[in-house]
Amino acid sequence: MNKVTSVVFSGIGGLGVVTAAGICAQAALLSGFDVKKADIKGIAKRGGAVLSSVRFGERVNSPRVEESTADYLVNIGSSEKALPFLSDTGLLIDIHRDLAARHGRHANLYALGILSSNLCLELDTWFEAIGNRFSQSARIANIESFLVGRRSWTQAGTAV
Amino acid sequence: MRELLTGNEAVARGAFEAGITFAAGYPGTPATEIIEEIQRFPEVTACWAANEKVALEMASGASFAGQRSIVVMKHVGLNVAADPLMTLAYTGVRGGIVIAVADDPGMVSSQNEQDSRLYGRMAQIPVLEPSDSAEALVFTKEAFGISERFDIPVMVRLTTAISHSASPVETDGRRSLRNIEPFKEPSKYVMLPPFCNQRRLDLISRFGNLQRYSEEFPLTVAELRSAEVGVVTAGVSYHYVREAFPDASVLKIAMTNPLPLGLVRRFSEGLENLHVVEELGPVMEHTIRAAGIRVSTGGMRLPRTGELSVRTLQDSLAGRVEGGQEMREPSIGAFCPGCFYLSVFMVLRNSGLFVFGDIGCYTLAARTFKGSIDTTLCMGAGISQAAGFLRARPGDKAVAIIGDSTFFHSGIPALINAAYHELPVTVVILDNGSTAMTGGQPHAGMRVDMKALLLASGIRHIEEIDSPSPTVFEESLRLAVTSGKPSVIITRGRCVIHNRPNPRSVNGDLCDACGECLAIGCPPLSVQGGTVHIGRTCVGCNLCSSLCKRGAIE
Repeated sequence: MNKVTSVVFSGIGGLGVVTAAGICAQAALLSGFDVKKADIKGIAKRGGAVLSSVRFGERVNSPRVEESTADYLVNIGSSEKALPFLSDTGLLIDIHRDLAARHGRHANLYALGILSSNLCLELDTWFEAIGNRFSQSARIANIESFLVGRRSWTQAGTAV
Repeated sequence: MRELLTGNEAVARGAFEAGITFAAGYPGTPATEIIEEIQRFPEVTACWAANEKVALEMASGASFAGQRSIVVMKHVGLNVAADPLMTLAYTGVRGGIVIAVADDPGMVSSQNEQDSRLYGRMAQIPVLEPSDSAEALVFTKEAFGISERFDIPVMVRLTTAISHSASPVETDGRRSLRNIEPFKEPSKYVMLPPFCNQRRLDLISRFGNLQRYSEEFPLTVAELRSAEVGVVTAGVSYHYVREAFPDASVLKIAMTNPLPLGLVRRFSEGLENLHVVEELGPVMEHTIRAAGIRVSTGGMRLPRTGELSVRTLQDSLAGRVEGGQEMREPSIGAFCPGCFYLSVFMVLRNSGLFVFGDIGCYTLAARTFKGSIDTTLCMGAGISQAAGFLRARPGDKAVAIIGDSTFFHSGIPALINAAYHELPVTVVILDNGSTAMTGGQPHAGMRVDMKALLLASGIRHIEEIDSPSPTVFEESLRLAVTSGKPSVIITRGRCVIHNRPNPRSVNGDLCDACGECLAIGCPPLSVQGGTVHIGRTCVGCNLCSSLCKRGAIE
């Protein structure tokens, strides 16, 4: 049966939410999946909320994640979580504002690391997707944050 | 090469691969990015025209010169371009013309929702409806060949869900085309009797050819599964149908005008139930019913407004939903912090005057300063409405507000009209030097001496104010509305997002992308092509330049 995984990324503009969604979508594409990514970032420039979604699977039809269907909700730094999107059995990865501040501009990669532990995408595809996004000098720092996130999940087994 | 592109990026890519040399449009959500993407190809001249009518007319000129061109607009933009469109179907093309229209079902960023396919029907031109980015690329690319083969402009119709979502596409190389020299052919291009009558007969004949072609159109796909339920659909609705009813037979029509009725009829035979799924209205459905093809009633009552979804379709089939969909929270909020419009609208709200509004960032005043604007109809309407109001009520007062880009789009005839009829409207032109609402695109009026234009139009009461404070604007407004003459107040200020004072830029020769400046995480900073690039949203705070060890930021 065609299983489609739906991930919603939410947060406030400027914390790399859309970048995180883009990396996830790219990793899925590199893994050979059909992917649909949608951004709803109209008001991000005015300091508003950002919402991006990624759906991947053997064949993805609808580009939109509908209410109560998201398998994962990754929330970065915002107190307004897009909870209505999360399904009953979905996982919330909530990077609280303080944790986001501690990780600075890498909070989104930290969140992706946690997410990656739960998805079936090959580690290599994550590295390639991250590598494509950043300059040589920034790449290492971002991959480090990604790996810290990935390790924290494996160790703690819960969302941070 | 396989990559993720949005529908808009894919349309741009498809047009590029088809060998266009010209593109024109006017900014409008959700179509804007198509032109912005095309602007990245040096082989193509892509420009923002004063309005959509001008854009299509320019494209028809490029076509006359023998070159392929694309015109880009949102659904209400097609209203503006409709005049040339209707007769362009008569003249036909030399270089193919594709009109890429992006509809906004649910009017998330528009004053209304419209089904642009109806224009295709009225003009008798082919309409292609891609359902995702891959099809957006292929359909756009193919459309140019169809345009030239059938001597007709072609519409590629998108909706927000396709324009703004990204899915995998295969990109290819660019076609190189023969250069054609323009030549005189008045019987084809000068539309007056008897030439236009002859072209009309020819259009009927061309459309007949298209009807036959549509029946064999290779991009239309039939997925035969269940004999109990079959669905005829097109565009992004196909994907909602496929996901909502995995077992249904589906006929996904790629060319929805002319509709391949023979194909639909054959598809419907042997099906117990035939449904037609489309957003906004039963456009295909009515044509199918009129041809005597039985469409099941009662089973699928679709909302006549807004986007469809997997859930809506499942509910519809189960008889659970009818009529409109629930209102989505408006996503475009309020004015930006520091916008100079805040002063203007605060005063207007307190003035108690009738204020006839227009389309742009300032339309948001209706939410932020309730009572500050009284109407918003369409581009350029405020001035005309104020004039009409005063014609109906001589001696009364009326204010019209309009932005600079909208003014050059369609406000000028309205202003000249008001001056000519000596109607004492007070027009406030909110000049922030850009087409701000859609992303700060340049517009054709940016080099126009506005004051000279107003004087030439017969306006004698003109005031120009920079970044008005409420007190200053209040006094200007009082003088203008009590003048008893048509008057214009030009309020000027920088758009706080798109026109920052002193934006920084990077000297590419000195920058080696060491990443020191990127450490701040400032949004406009990114790496492109091996050096750091500073985007439009830079406010000039100098934090990045203070960190740069190469002296590359200036």
